[in-house]
Amino acid sequence: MIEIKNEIVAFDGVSFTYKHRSIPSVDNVNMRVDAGEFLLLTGATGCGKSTLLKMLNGLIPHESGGCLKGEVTIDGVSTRDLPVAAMSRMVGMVFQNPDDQVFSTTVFAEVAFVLENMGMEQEKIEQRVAESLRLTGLSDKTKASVHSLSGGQKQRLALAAVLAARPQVLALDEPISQLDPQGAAELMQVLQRLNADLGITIIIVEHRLHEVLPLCSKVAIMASGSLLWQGDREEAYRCPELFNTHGLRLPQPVTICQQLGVTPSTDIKEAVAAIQQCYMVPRSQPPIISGIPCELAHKRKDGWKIGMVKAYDIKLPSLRTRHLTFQYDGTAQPLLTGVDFSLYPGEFVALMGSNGAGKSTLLHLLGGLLKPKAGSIEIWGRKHTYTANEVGVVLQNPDFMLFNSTVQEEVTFALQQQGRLAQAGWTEHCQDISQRLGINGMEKEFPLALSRGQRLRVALAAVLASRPSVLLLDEPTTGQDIGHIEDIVGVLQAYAAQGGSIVFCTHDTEVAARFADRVVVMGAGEIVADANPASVFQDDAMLAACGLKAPAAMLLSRALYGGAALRAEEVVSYVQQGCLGSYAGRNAVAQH
Amino acid sequence: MYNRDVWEATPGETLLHNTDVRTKILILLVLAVTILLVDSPRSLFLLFCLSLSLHVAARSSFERWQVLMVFVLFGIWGSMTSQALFYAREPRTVIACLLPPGTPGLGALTGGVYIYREGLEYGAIQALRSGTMLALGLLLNWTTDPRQILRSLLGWKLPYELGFMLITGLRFLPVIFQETAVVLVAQRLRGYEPLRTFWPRRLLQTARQTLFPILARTLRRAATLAASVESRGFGRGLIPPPLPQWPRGESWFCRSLIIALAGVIFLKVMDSLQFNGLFYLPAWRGIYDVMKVWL
Repeated sequence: MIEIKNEIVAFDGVSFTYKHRSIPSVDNVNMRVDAGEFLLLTGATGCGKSTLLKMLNGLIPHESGGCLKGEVTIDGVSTRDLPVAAMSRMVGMVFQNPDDQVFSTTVFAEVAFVLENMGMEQEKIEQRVAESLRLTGLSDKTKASVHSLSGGQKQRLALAAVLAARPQVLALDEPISQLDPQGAAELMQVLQRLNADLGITIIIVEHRLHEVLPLCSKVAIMASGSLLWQGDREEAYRCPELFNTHGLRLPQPVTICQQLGVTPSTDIKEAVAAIQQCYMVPRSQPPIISGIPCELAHKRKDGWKIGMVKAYDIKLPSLRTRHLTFQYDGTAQPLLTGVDFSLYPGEFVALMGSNGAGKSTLLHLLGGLLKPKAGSIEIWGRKHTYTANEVGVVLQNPDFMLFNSTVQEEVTFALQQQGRLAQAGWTEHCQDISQRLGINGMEKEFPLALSRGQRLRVALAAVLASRPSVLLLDEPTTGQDIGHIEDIVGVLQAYAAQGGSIVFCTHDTEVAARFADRVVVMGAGEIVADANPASVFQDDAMLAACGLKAPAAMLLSRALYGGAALRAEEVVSYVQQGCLGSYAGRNAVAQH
Repeated sequence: MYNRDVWEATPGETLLHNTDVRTKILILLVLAVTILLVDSPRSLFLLFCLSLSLHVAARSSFERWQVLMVFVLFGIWGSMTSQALFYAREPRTVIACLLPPGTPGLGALTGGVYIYREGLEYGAIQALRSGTMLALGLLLNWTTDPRQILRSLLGWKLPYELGFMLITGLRFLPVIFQETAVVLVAQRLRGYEPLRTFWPRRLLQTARQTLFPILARTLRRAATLAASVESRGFGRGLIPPPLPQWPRGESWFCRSLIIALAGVIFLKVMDSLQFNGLFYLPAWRGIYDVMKVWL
C-alpha cells in the first residue's frame, strides 16, 4: 500500500553560497514539510536557518545574487520558476524586527499593500483586510497609526500583512525574538489558531524554544549549514544531547522530565502528572527566600511589595537614582515617574517588564542617552557626570557602538580617549576579555562586517576594556543561542565578582532567574517589584499585570511540591533527594 | 529633532491628509515652477505664507513647527549671509565694510569684504524660495502615506528602482535622525567628545565614525524592507495596479492650477520681451504695471 502524503514544501539537495563567499551557508539540505504542519527550524546562531527560510518564497535565488544548487518546491512549483511577487501568494514571509518591515502609516494600508499588488478590487481588499485583522486580533486597530502599536501588535500586523494574501505556507524568521513574553504569547496563539483552524503550514525559525516547542508538531535542527536532525516534537524531546551540544535550550519541564526519566512534556500539568506517576514527591515547607532582609525592604504606598534584597557590606551604592522622572516634550504622560533605585557593587540585576514599561528609558537615563526631567542620578554618591569610565552601556543594537576600522581599535578606543596612554594598545586586559568573549583572532576584522552575535561581543569587550563601575546592557540575549548567552554571562559574572555592577534588560525570565542576583520589574513607568528572583517570580498577580510569566521550573515545582525552584536542576535535585528510597515505579500513584 | 515621530507621516483627518496624493504632488510641482519664475519679493512672501498656512490647515504639531522653523531660519540666515558677502552682480551698494582692502594680508588678498544691500535682498528672495519648497516638501511627507506616494509615482511611470529608493529615503530619514543621536551619545559614553572642537580633521573623524554605524544599520534595514515588500508582491515585475479614481473636484483644481501656471509662464515671457525691448503691446500697459509688481 502506498502512503499518500500531502507534501507542500520540499528541499532536494539544496546548497547555497552567498556572493563573495567560498563556504556554503546551506549545504545539501533535504527536507519535506507536509501541508498543515507546524515546523520549528532551529540551530545555533549563524547556522543557516534564515538563509534556508529565504528560499521558501524565492528571495534566494532571485534577489540574493549567490549560487543555489538543488531544488526548492512549494506545492510542486519550483521557486526558480516563479518570481518573488508570484511566490508571495503561496508563501507569506515575516521577518524579525517589525519596525523594519512595516511600511505604511495606517494598519489598514499596511495589510492592503499585498492585495493591491495582486491587483484586487477595492471592495474585496476591504473584506480581506478585515478578515486578516480579525484573525490576528487587530480588528479594533484598522484605522490606527502603525506608530501607536506595541511591539507585539506590530509583529501581528506584519503577520496580517502577509496573511491577507491567503498563503498556504507562513515562514517566520525569529518573529518573537524582540517581543516581551506577553507579546510573544499573543503572536504564538495567533499562529496556533491559523495552523489548527485554517490548516496553514507554518515554518518558524526561533531560538526561544520554550515558547515555540509546545505549539509545533515537527522540529528540524541545523548546524553549520546542514540539516542535522528532523522529526516529531516528541522524538526531539528524547534527544536532549542534540539540543545541548548545539546551544539550544529545551523547555524546562522537558529537561526536568528527561532527567527524572519520565515521559517529557512542555505542559506543566502533564509533566507533574508524569513525575507523580513515578515519584512520591513530598510537599516542601513554605518557600524560603534566600537573602537577608535589609533596610531597603519596604512596602510601597500602592501596595506592591518591594521584596528582600541582599545586604551588602559596602553601604555606598555604586549607582542610585532619586525620584527619577522622564517625559518626552509634548507628550501628556511621563514615561518614568519617581523611580528610586540603588545598585551595589558586585550586583547582577535583571531589569524586566513588558515593552513600553519604561525599562529601556531607565537604562538610557542611567547611561546618559536621555536627560531626566526631574530627580537625580548618583554614582558612588556623587552626581553622575556621564564620563566614560563611570557607566558603560551596551545598546540592544551593537551596530551603533561600532565605529572603528578594526576590532582591536574598537576594543582599545575608550582607553585611548580617556588618555590612559600607558594602558592604550592591545593590553593583557583587552586580550583577556577578547579571549573570554570568543573574539580573539578577529583583531584585524572590520567590526560591522561580523555576525550579530560577534558584533554584540565586540561591543561588550569595547565597553568592558575601560573597566566602568556600572555596566548597563539593553537586551543582550536577543537573538542569541544559550551557548552565546552563557559565554556572555560568564564574562559578566567575572566582572561582577571584581566589584562591577550590572543591570541588564531582558524579557527572558529563565535567563533572569538563572543568572541575576536581583530582579527589578517595571510597569507603567514605575518600579513595581525589586527583590531576589525567587520572590519576584512568586508574585503571580504582579507578573500578570506586567506581562511576565514565572519560569516554567518555578511553576512546575509549585504544582509538584509547593516549591519555588528557579532552575530545572533544583527541581530534579529536590525530587531525587526528597524521594530517595521512595521511587514508586512507573505505575505508582502519587501520595502527598 | 531626534524624535522620529516628528519626521514620519502620521494619519489624520484634515483636508490635507484626505487630499489625493496626486493632487498634493501636482500642487508641489506647480508651486515649485512658480517660485522659480517669480522674482517679486511680495509674491514670494505670499507663497511662503501660503505654504505655512497649509501647515496650519494640516494641524502640524508644535514639534513639527519647531523643525520647520529651524530649517527655514537656517536657510534664511545662510542665504542672506552668503549673498550679502558674495553678491557679484551690478549695481551693488555697499552698506558696511567688514574688512578694509588696506588690511595687511587678508585685505589685500580679498580686495576687502563688504556687505551689499542688493545681496541681502537677493538672499532674502532665495531664502523665501527655499523656505517655501521646504515647507511644502515637509507637508507632503508628514501628511501622506509613503505607500501612496510610491503607487502614484509608479502609476506615472517612474522606474521601480527610483521609486523604491525615494520611499526608502522617506521611510528611514526619521529613523536616521534618531539613530544619529544614539551614536553620538554612544561615542560620548566611550570618552569621545564628537562636537568638542570644529577642526576639519576632528569633524571628518566624527563624520566617519558616526556615518559608519548608521550606514551599516540603514543598509541592513533597507535590505529587510526590500525583502519584506518583495515578499508581499511588490517588485520589478509588478504591473502597477490602477490608481483609484482621482476625485473630480481635485482633478479640476489641478487642471486650473496647470492653466494658471501656463498663464504665469506666458506673462513672464511677455514681460521679458517687453523688458528687453523686443515686443511691446501698448494696450497691455496696465498689465505690465501689475506684472512689474507681482512677477
